Amino acid sequence: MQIALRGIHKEFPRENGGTLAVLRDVTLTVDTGEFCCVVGTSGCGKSTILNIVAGLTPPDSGQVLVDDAQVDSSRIRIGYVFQKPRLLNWKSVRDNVAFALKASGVSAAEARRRARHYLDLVGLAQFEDEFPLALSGGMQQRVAIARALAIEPDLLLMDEPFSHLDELTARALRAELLRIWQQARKPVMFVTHNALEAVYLADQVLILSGRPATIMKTLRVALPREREMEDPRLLALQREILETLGITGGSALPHGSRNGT
Amino acid sequence: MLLVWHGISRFFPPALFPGPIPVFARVWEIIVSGQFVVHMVATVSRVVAGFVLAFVASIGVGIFMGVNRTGERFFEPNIVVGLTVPSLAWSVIALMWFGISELAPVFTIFVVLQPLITVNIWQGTKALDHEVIEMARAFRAGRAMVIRDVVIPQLVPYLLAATRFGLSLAWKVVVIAELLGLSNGIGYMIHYSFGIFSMLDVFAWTISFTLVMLAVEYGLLKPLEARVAGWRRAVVL
Repeated sequence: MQIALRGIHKEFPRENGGTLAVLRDVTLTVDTGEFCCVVGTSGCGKSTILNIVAGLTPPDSGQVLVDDAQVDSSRIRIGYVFQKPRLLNWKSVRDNVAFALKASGVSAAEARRRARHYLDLVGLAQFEDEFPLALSGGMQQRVAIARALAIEPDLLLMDEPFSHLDELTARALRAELLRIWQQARKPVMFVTHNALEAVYLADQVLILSGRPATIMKTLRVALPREREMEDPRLLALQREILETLGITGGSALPHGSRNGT
Repeated sequence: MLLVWHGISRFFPPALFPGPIPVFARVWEIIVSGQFVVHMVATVSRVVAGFVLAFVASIGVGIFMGVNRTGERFFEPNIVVGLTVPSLAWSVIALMWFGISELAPVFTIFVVLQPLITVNIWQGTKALDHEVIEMARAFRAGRAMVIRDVVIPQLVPYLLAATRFGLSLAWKVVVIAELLGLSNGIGYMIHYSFGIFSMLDVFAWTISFTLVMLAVEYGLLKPLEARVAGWRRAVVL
């Protein structure tokens, strides 16, 4: 399945009555089974792109196309991992995953079975009866990932899912995500402000300008998998991204690489 | 507490300050005579009727205020005025409007409780976490599922708080209304005991009434709260 955005514009109304242009002529294509990272500075409208793809935010103009036909946003199955876990704190970990399954039309019994399977996959099988608030932040985010994977989505959307985690946990989850993605071969749109994370994960990196965001550059990462984060070729690509964003070397540690290096 | 009461009562004439032993003996007499059940049923049914009406109205108004700016501006004066007017004033007004009938106490409870419960539900609606609602929409949850699994669980703590405040206030209000103008109920019996100047009966009726309220609190509200708010305890672990 291929996802394409064509000429997306989006403005938001402001408190003072004016409007804030967030996206300007965003055009991109994510091919079947492709891992696509969207990189940009914080607050540039990256999340808005995902919300438009998910059908949560309608674009002012432009189209979201699935396999070249205009998407019926309710037709494709979307797994969404947000920046924060966004769990239902009054439901057990298992029921949180089962909630998404039931929402996508899976029977209750099957939902429980699959919830257990995917919690096992993210290493949380023994916590399935706990409430989310009893878990650490990293574990909560793994529940959110299990929830998105459990519905076996046609498209996986991830909005800086590891940015609130410590680097050790983030690394383990990135490797795990790639392993699962390589099995499922479904397209992924992954938003991040971490340039190194982007080149480590992606086949294709889209670099966004500041507001209103538009795609400044598309980068192909043709390196084979089982990449190493310290690979000099990745570091070179990271530098290219940072230079495009206008964050050039110097003595100061660039903002975009803080989590990654 | 009972010991302190007993100790203090030794220093006063029993007609003014009866001790726990004669009071509880009288409570027992009231219960055995069947009088207690008659008056308690009258009082409780007024409380339940007024409370249920206020609760239902407040859910509507409170949610409306929480989601609609205009609704908020329209009903806010109602809340402020409602919370300010003394319940005694409402009792008098209700008696003059409706005369000595069941309508008077039920109306009084309704007008006193409604703004209080509405405030709770209004605040609860405003505090809804829109991020999890958005999450549910992203996963294609239908409207019914969003309300049942995402919205209502977030409102439950506010509904429980409203129930607790509302009931405790309703008990006080109903006694005033009964005392002023009705011919049965606990409030009336306290007034009647005052009429015959029997402190023993005033104490006995007050205490039997309090015992029922405690039973509702510990037998009904606390277990209910523990059940629906169990997930919060996970924070302590």
